Amino acid sequence: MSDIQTPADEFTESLPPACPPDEAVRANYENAWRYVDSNPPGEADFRSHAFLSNKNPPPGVTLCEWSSCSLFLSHNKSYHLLPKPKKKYRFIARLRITDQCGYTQSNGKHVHFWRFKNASPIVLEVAPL
Amino acid sequence: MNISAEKKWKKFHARLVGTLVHLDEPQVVLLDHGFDAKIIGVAIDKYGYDYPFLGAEISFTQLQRYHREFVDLRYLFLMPKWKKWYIFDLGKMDAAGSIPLRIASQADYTNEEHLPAAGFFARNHTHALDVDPIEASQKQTYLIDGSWSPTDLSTFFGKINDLYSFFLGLKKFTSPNATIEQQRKLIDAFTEHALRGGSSYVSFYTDLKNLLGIDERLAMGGIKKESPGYVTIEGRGEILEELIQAFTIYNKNLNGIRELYKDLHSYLSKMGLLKAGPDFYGISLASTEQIRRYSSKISELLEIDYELIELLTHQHPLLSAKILLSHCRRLEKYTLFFTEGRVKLPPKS
Repeated sequence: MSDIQTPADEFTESLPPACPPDEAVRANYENAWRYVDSNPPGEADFRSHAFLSNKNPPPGVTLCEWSSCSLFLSHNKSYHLLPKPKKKYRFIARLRITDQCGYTQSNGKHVHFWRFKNASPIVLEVAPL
Repeated sequence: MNISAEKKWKKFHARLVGTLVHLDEPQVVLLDHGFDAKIIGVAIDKYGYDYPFLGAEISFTQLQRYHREFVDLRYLFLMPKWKKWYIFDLGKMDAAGSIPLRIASQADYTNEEHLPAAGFFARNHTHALDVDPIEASQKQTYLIDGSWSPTDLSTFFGKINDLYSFFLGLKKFTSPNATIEQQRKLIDAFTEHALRGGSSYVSFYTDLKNLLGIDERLAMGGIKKESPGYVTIEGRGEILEELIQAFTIYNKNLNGIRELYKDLHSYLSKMGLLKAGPDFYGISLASTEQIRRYSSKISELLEIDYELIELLTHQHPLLSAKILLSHCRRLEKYTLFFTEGRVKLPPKS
């Protein structure tokens, strides 16, 4: 985490130990995109799989990543061509994420997002998929 | 992590290589199933499974073609090389990393709800594998302007592709990693064609292209057909660089090359050798030497290793001369687009 310690109960979900990871930061993103199922996006659209199911994460996914939700750094509707996203999501939301929203870990394309309690990303635009 | 693993896995087990797309959970994964058998999987909904995937068993070449974006993801599921589809549950992976596979029913692998729609390409992957199946290709952009017919675009890309294959062929022949088999095939490409005209030259360059691996082949990246616009090509970076160099050298020595081309071509025409094939032995020693002189001078101006050309043609002066002339014609056509003002290179950043 950054040099500011954030109490665990400041996050909207209960996170596992050492989560978010050290590499995660509080950053500003002028534009980030999230696949959502409602317009306007609601609380449920930002819930992680850890919150929504009782299942352990699949191989290759850490419990911490399982407790995040996915954002993208470019407007890319292509994921809606994949079987599960095609059924699950109906919209793509363009968001502004500030460093007051939570912690993020980015690989340049995909962002894991751990949201603070009582913090919501600013929804700039919602478009149908 | 070795993607081209040669280890044979149990028939109905595969090993997870990695996640290619993650959107809240893994959406596209790659499994290894042994020699030349990879399983590309997409997450689906299926009752009774924790993390169900539909997988298609593809070859390593298909995986390379997918990564180079010659084919999309849907194609891999419609035309997997090994014609096998599986249902697997990522949640059933054991401690050794082995995932059990179940043969998918036709109802499963033809169900549109289980298949990716057309148009999903490898550039959309959110995560790279530890070891990518191809060496990353480099890009070269050409700025275009003016009017372009479809034939113009085809000619431009075609000439670049011929030159690229030629330079890559020379490079591969002299590479310390070249096998005897690879060198033999390159020599075959240089010597098997009569080079009597038109189509036999096309066949020569086609043979060179066919010797390239999927990861080496030239591909057209982006194209913006506007005035001004651009064309981007992708390939081996060092060869793309050599193409640019060849253009610079050709321009620098343009008059000398054109003069020598005219002299060599006229000489071969006068001697009745333009239509003669590699099996023609009626060339006098004096003519042979004259042809070699012309070829050697042209090579010097083109900054191409003439001895290497001779090595590839089994020291056949007529073949070497014709190959050099065809190379010049391609450089000339490629350069013409620049001379016409319709192509230029972007400013160096």
